[in-house]
Amino acid sequence: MFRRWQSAIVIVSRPFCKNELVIRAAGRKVIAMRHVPQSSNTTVARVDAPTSVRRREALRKRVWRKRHYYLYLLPLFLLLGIFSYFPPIMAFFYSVHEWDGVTLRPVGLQNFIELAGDPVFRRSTSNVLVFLVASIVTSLIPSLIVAELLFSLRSKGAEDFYRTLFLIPTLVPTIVITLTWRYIYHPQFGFINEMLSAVGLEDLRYDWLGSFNTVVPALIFIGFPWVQGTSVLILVAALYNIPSDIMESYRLDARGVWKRIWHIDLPLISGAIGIICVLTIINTLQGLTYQFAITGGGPGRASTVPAFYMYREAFYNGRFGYASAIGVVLFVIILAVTLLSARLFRSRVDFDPPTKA
Amino acid sequence: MNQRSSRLNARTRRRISNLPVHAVLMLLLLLSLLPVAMLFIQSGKTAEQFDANPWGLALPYNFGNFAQIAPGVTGYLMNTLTVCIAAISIALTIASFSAYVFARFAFPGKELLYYAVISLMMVPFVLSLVPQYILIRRLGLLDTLWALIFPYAAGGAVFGVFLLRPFIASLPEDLFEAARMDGANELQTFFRIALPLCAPIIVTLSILLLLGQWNDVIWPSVAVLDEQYYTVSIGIWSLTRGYTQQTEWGLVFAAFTITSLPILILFIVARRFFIQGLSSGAIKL
Repeated sequence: MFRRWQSAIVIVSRPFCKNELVIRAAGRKVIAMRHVPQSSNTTVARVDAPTSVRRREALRKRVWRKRHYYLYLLPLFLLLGIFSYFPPIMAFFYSVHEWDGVTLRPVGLQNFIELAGDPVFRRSTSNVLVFLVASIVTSLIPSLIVAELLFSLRSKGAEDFYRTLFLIPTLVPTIVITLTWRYIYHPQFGFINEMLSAVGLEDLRYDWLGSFNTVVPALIFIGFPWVQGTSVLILVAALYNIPSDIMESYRLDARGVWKRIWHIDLPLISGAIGIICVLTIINTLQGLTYQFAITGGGPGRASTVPAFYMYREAFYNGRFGYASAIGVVLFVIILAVTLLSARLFRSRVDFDPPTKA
Repeated sequence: MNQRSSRLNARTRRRISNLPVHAVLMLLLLLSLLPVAMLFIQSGKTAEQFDANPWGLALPYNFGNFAQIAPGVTGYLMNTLTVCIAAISIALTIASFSAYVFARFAFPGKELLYYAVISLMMVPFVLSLVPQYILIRRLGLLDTLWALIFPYAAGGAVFGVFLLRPFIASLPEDLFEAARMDGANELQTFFRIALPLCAPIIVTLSILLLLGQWNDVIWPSVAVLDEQYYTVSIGIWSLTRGYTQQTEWGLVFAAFTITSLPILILFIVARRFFIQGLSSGAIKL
């Protein structure tokens, strides 16, 4: 019963047609009986009218009467139809074809079978898993630390100051930061190697990006100390959203700060943490900027990832069908991760009842 | 008097206990800002200064690098600016009106259409990259700025509808009712009521779209191969391949700085909207 009311409330604040008055009057009685707060919109009851006039009206007739609304949405669907719906659909089509850009030949699942046995693809998959684990840690932990520190300051001014400055690296174009790090790693004149020489560790100078054993760690290290201004914003906002009575009671309890963070903060901001995790996972799974701008997937195949392999196959080797198959595989993985984590985090946030009954 | 001084003491004590926190934050902040600082330091070095001191600050600061590299970068900046302005205007025009229709009217299949739009946010960029390239090539748009404008506008429209619909839906019905009483039709209520009230969130949305488009490097790298149409990202990427000698690093970094400045300046001017926009990036799930 309650569930039905909730769904009614969601639809409420929309304006509607002429039978509004009748239904609203009928609904008012019901509201009073069901103890829905008076402050909530009185139009709630619209949904509760089971034998609504609208139901009886034929669908076709209704569509025709409202035809101008579809007309209003036409520009949107024209633009999206061509540039947003068509390409992903075609990706599935191309993935079962062999295509060099000139001749199109249907090959069934051949591309996927080839992919399963492709050593480069296997290598790129294992690389992206390493990047994935690393990126979850690097995108979460430092930002979380900064957010907790800012929260502990309890000073709007200081918080604003740090928050703003931590955003600045986010605003410099990605490609600029990426290329700057290429110079930082430069084997001859790079910042890291120069620093090593300066402190007398000449022996440790190394071609960080050009060596098989260091290229992946070096790419992970980019952006050190990995504080993400955006994530800090989200996390600090989430911390301030924790009801202050919960915070205060814990403070008076004189239990330690760490305990508070573990038992109160982390569970209560798990929604924000989840969002950051999911966004990071999605971005990492399809990321190829470093490979594109710095390593080219090398040395050898040491730093290649599936998205970059796809890019290579399509735009260097002209194997559009095979590249589309890689894209489809990545899409399936990303979709699975997104749906799975959406489920995971929804169930974890559920302890907070959406409405007071 | 006594009370006041004890309160002051409490505050001072808290300030002192905050000192280690500030120290850690400052350290993290300085490390985070280091690459940005490098941009500015390296931009002002001559070849000799690079030789003598590859990474430290060298004085006098040589503004000549900016003057020398500016003509090359201006073209890229103009292209990016054209693309962003065109794509964002198209996206905002279509998104704001469509969001208004989705938010304030009832018609059969509305929710279905809405979810059809929103579900596009689940489509990752890797899935559409290759077919989108083929589409643009078929349309004969390859090596034109339209190759960038249309896909950006479409993506922006989806995100715009997503962000604007709940906002427009939350506007009080009384405003629209009053306008209708005064004889305003659906189009007029959109322009006179919904649009002005949406102004702040539209600014926020524009900033988010601008950042995304300014940063994109993969799509321009396949869509525009003619240097005449390079955007800043792809332009400075090709620049680093042209200037490989260490003596030329000053020029490269000057180009980096020039292409970073517009967004940084915009951030200083419109900080509130940036912070709002970047925090709302969280709901993009």
